Amino acid sequence: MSKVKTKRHSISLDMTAMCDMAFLLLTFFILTAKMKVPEPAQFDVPSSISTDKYEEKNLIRISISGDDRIFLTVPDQTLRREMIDAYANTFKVNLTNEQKMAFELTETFGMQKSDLISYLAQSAEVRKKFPQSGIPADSTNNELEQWIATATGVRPELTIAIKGDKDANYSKFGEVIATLKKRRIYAFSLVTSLEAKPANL
Amino acid sequence: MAEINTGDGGGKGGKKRSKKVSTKVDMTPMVDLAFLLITFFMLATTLTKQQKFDFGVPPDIKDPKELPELKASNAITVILGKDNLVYWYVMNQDGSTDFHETDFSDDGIRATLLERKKAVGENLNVIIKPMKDSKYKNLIDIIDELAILGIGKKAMVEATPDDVKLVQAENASVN
Repeated sequence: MSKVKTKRHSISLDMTAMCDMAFLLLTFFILTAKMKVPEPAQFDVPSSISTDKYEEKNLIRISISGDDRIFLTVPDQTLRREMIDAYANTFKVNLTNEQKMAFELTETFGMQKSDLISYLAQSAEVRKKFPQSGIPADSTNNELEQWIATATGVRPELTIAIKGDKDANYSKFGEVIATLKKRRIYAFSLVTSLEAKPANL
Repeated sequence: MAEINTGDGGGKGGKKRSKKVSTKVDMTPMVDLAFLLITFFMLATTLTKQQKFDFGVPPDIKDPKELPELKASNAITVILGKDNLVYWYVMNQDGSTDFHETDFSDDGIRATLLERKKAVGENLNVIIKPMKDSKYKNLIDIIDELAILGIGKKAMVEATPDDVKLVQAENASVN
């Protein structure tokens, strides 16, 4: 008796549909992903149990790095343009249109006024490596206040977030708070990373 | 299927048919790659989200008469010192204070605050006094402790020279 031959089925599937779907999703995620802009300093933020989402809408952010330098981040490009125009007007700084364009492309900066002017005159490559010593916010030379005044002057409904590194000293944070108080800003948000709420309570 | 059949129905000496090449491509590696990238972009977009919490500071009050009245026994003062140390005291009825040193562990400041919350109830006021040499993280930690314990009444004031003296005295007595 001859053996009954089982008919061999091909196991190759038609992957076209799956591939289509995968690439559709891929395209979606690539388009929605926001490119992370390189920041002049790293910020390792402390954790808290707060679950409020931090969104960069209508907001400027004051960051304090671990070595106590103060940076200002303006995520909105049109606001940056309005700010530099207003700043140049108020503080009588002569800036060319190229320099203003350069400021428009600078999301985060942390340097005093004189450094900023020479920074804006550099090419994009040099700007990336430009040493940033932080915005002065002490009582003798409070440039941070000037920037906040400029920003809130241009857009009064602006909110302010503070993002501090774990290792930042409280004294620097105190300077920032004192500056905000001077501008009559008493409410702001602090940026944190998520931490699980302890269960044994 | 859709080819145009030319010729005379397979007669001898007909035209040579071009060999049909299968157009099927093995898509498996392509799908693998696509899913790998999808995973990457999904994780990269959702995991970088940060949280925030809203924080307020009271305006500076020049006139002491405008200061809100506070029952001393309802208040606990927490001083943030250097090296992640926390000091706390409660003012007693007779004006004396017990000064304690603790840390940010579960049995440290959290246990203290929990105990005070049980003793005083909803009226507990926490006065946070960060010293100049404390870290920003300490401040976030203590505010977070209050959020965990559900203590809504808090105030942040800078440490006074008296507080600094108390902390120094405490450190001297330990050493």
